[in-house]
Amino acid sequence: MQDKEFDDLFRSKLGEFEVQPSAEVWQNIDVELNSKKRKNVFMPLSIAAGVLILLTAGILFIPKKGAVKLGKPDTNAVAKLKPPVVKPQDTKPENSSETQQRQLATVETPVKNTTKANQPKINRNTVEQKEQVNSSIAQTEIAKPQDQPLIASAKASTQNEVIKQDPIELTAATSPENKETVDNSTISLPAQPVLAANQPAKTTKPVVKKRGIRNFGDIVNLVVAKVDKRKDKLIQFSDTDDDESVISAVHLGSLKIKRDN
Amino acid sequence: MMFLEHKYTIDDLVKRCKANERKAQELLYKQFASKMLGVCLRYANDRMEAEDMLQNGFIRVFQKIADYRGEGSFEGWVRRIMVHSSIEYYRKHHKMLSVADLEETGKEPSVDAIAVARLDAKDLMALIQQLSPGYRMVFNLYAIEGYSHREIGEIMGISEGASKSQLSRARAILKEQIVQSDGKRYEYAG
Repeated sequence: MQDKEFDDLFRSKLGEFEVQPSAEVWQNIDVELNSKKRKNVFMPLSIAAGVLILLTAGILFIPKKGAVKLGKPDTNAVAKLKPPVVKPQDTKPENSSETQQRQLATVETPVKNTTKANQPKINRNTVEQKEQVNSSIAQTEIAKPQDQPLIASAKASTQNEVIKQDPIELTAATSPENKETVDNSTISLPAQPVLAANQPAKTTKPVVKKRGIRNFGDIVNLVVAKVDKRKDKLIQFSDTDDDESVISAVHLGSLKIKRDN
Repeated sequence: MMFLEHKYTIDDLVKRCKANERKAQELLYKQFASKMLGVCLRYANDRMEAEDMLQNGFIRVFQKIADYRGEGSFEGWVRRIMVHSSIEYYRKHHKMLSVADLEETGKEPSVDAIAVARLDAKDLMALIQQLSPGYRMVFNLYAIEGYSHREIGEIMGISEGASKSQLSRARAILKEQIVQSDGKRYEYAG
């Protein structure tokens, strides 16, 4: 039997061989054709949506120039006010953070204030006293929400002002030429001499360390604060609830929503 | 007359398929599905594989239908796509498509043409499906589809010589199987 003949027999018998496929085959083809079609339709749409979102975000995050200019001179002025506080702490700059914490505590608890003001040298302190201080800080935090970290809170304009007025201790310490202004400030604040001495401690740094980032809202606030330099941030989370993050303010151009805590 | 009308219908369906009309696609599928499953079965190990090949093949038909210019019969065009889809399937799922070096075939068993003629399509299909994939592809492409060894070499990525030797080895195996089954048949009969 020739190869050709052999092949022809197969071809004649199998060339037109037919078998009905199962119904699933068409269903699968149908599904696949649909999915490809849908992809084609939605691709350009999703691209357009993406571009739109990027554009909107870009516009919203451009800081207002006026707001930025206002902010900086303020802080400078504040820096000059710092010196008054400097004097008592000049002797022990290495303890700055400790003392700051301590003083922060004392600011809110006037009773303790007096004792500490009377014994400035105790600041070098025994362990016991440190503990005391820490506990008092804890108390004040619980008792007074407005003492919470600047970054997290960033609440109201009034609070911002308070923070700005707080001198930064270290810079104050290194600038003896500011003594004059220091004197002036003390004069201007005669009513609270003790407090004045204590206030420098209220710098943001130690407070932030103390509280840290506890929830999602704090992270968002931190990031937004970096990106959005406006006073009214794009979005702000309340800082009072440690367990859950609650949006406290939204500023989308002309749309402003703010919730008082 | 019948032929003309049928031809018109297919052309019409093709036109509507080019416009991506789902109903026309379904009708076209129904028109050719059984025949094309018959093609795919020859390249597959079993029916499940064949239906996968058929599915992939038809999706490609609908994707490429705009490329069909009406040169040659539409059925021939679809069939070629099925063949390529089947080979593609094997490339993806079986890495050893090209068969290793062939052992020298011994003396080919002589097969009576009547013995082959006695076998029906199902038997022949079973014989082809039991070949290893490489032999099966080459035998199908050459003996049934009518491709040349050069074309087969290109499609399968092997040399022309390899195509020739695989074809003769495939034939030898088939003949051997037929002789054996024929012998059994006589045993039963006797």
